[in-house]
Amino acid sequence: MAGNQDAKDCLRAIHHHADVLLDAYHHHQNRLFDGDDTTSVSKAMLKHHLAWKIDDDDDVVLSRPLTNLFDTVTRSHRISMANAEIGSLWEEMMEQIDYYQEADKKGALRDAEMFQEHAFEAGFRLLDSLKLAIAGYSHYINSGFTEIRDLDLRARKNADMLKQAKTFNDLLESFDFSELERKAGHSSELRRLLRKVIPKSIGLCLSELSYAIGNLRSLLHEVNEQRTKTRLVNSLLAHYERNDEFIPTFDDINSVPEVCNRAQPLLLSSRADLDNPLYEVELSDLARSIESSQARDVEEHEASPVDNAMDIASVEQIPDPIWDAARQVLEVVKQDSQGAFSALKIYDVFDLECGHELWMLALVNTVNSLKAQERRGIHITYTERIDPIFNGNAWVSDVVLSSQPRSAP
Amino acid sequence: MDSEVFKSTTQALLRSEIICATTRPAEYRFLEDAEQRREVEQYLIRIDRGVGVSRDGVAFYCSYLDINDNDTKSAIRSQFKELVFDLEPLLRWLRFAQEAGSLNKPIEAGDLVKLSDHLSTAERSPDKRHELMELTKSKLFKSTAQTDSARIEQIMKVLVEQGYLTKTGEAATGLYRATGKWSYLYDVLEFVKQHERIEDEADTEEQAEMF
Repeated sequence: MAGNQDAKDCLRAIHHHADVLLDAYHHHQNRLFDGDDTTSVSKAMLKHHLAWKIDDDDDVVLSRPLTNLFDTVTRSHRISMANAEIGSLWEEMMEQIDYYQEADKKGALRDAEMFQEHAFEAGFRLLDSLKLAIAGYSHYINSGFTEIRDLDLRARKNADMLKQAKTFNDLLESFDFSELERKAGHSSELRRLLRKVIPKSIGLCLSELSYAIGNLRSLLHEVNEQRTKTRLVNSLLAHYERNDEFIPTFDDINSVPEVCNRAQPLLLSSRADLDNPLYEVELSDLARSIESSQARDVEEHEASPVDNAMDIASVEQIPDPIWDAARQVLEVVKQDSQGAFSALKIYDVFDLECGHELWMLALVNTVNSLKAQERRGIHITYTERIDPIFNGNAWVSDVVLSSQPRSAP
Repeated sequence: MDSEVFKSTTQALLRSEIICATTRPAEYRFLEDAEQRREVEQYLIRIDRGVGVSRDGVAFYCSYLDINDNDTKSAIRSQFKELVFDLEPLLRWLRFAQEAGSLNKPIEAGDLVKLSDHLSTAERSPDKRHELMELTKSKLFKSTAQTDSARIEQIMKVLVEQGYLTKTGEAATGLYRATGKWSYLYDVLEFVKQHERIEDEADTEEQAEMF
């Protein structure tokens, strides 16, 4: 329990200091700078091993488990921030370069050095943000947005990310590399940054972004197809629920729809060539196997004549529940001149220990066992299904009994 | 051209099989090649047959070339009736399977269907268990089984028999792969929806919200 209590304290501390921690994470490279508002945070984080520092004079730095947590929970925010940040970092870098060139022209060397450092800082932050933005897209592409279970929400998030990626792409394409070339000046370090490192990173980012846009687009297409299919199934089910008797048909149109154009099977029968000596061995093996598979053990039974039937012990015949049920049904059918009785529906009512087929057979046999006059009073309708292979044959799937109105004498 | 695959492809089509990457990978690849598909079509054309393909392109099947002939119309109608005969329980299973799956997506050709997902869904929720019991009361999946596992096995067995699923991996692993027959079914469902003028559930809800 002590472990749980520690963990709860730790979570409470994160919650309590969330603003300061997130500020350090977003704006100070995970460092808690010494100050009144950070003292208690630093103490709490150090206590729970979520931060570290080398010397007493050093800043407290948030540890990897905590920054990993922030990476996860702020992913969406960071991507959008990275996208937005890149534009302003570009502007900032250009501005610092302008200052640097101005100072350099005037021979203000210390100022030039300072502005050059600022330009580098903005340049490297720009490169970091580019990497971060791309990493965010690849996370969604790899997961396929499947962390969102609802298909509509998944599609919406996908569409939002696609829109964001396109805007980001437009922003990157708006960067003018010739301006970088022009501003590179004579500082070899700045020339390297502006003419090589930044154009190369942006070029790489653009190609990864174009790959990401392609993937996001195809993911969106896929999820939209899935939504269409889900809606299709749900709407048909709802239609079935609203209309008990609904059976799809296109009997009302003369033509047949192309989508239903699937041919019935053609039977491919084959016959062995009995006169061909090539097949002789195989056929004789086959014939032998058929012979042995048909051999059966026949139970021997010797009939003995009955001398006096009166001496044989009487055996009570237990009524068959299936026949009983069938006879009960016929009584109801005979009495109800209006109704039609489906064997399958009745089957669901009786708790019979037999299959559908036996039940339908029992019903038909019971009708057939009636006297001719009674039998004529009952009409039997067979619901049939064409056999998919032997299309000249039909399977009986239900038997409907109804009372036949007697014809006038 | 591989004459063995040509033979098996043509024979499967004439048996009215649906060819997809799951059920017949070699034949599917064969038909994906436009030139080879033309060869099959040239062969079938003489008996008034062609090669049909589902809207998403993942299922091939044999079709009639002249659908205006009366016998052909009657054969197509009977094929359609057979397909829609047990449609409702099939749709209910589709919804059940979508919710049971880890990705919450409709079943499509090539998808892996896990018996264990169905079982855990039924065990987790009384509503889902009730849905499962209702499914096994339908004519299509009829079962007197007393356990969820046996009920699910019965459903899977029927779906395999009907060509919607194939068993995959070792026996008794409870893994199945969806076939291209779902693609054909979705095409037919789309037609049914349009022909019967059935509105999308979402549309109806949106309209209700508007009012």
